[in-house]
Amino acid sequence: MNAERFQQLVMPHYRRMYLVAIRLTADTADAQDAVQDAVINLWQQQAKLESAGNIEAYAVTAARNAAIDITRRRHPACDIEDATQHDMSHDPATALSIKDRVEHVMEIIDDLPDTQRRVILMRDVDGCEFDEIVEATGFSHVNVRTLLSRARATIRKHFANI
Amino acid sequence: MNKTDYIRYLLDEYYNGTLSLSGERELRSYFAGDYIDPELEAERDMFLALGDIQVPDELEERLNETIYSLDRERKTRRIGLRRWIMRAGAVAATVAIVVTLVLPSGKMTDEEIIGSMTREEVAAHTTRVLELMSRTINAGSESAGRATSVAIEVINSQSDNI
Repeated sequence: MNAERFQQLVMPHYRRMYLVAIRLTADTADAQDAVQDAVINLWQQQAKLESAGNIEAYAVTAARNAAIDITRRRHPACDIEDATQHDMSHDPATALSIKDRVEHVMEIIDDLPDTQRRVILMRDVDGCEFDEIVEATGFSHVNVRTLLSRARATIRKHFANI
Repeated sequence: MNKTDYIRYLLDEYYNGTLSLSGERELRSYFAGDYIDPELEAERDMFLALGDIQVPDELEERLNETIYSLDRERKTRRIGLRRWIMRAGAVAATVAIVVTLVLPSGKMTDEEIIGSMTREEVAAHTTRVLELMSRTINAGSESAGRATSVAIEVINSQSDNI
């Protein structure tokens, strides 16, 4: 398998891989390292990758395993749950930990209606332009903005209630 | 418009789903900063959470570089193996040629055999040959002497009879 073929198989899933990794590591640098480690592991198992029925699931599992490895390596005394609590934001006394924030926002997004979830993931996670979202979803510009507005309002409401 | 009012304006646009990507980046940057107006504090965790799950722009490029680097490494390894095989083949061929040339075969002429020997080897073989000739001649002359004695004895005995 050459590099181009490998990219075609794996790169469409790197955002999902990152989301899994950031939930486990609660650290953007560690999450990026985990995704990179996962890609290297997948490269070394190309034969299995070709025959894997669901490449996205395979890639996400590789990212999960790499994230767990990195967390254990960097915080050997902690178990995986404790280890992800290490990185607090500005004020440890009042602010949510990164892990809490990530878990919370991902749970809210997971509970959104399909259309809203799709649009907010493309915009707020992937950083897509409105034109790209319109093209990918087939929704009108007005629809995209409305769905995005509703999704953000829902997330804001949940965070306001913490 | 002061900073807080400007951020509030961006927030309105954001929740309406009409803010540009650069405006969204400004908001995230503000909420990730050291000073946040207390009136806007409630928005902070949500923006930090959305910032946490946003896939870093540089990750895609980093992964592509990793893939190309792995591909180059594999090609280099293959070329190295090919070179090693070629070198081993060349060494084996050289050894075969040397063995063929150096070891005397049954079809070599006396001149070729002598030509392939060192001076010392030629001298040693010559000495050996001369010793063998000398022993043969000695043995021959002893036999001749014994035959002569027998012949003299026979002649003497015959002359006595006469």
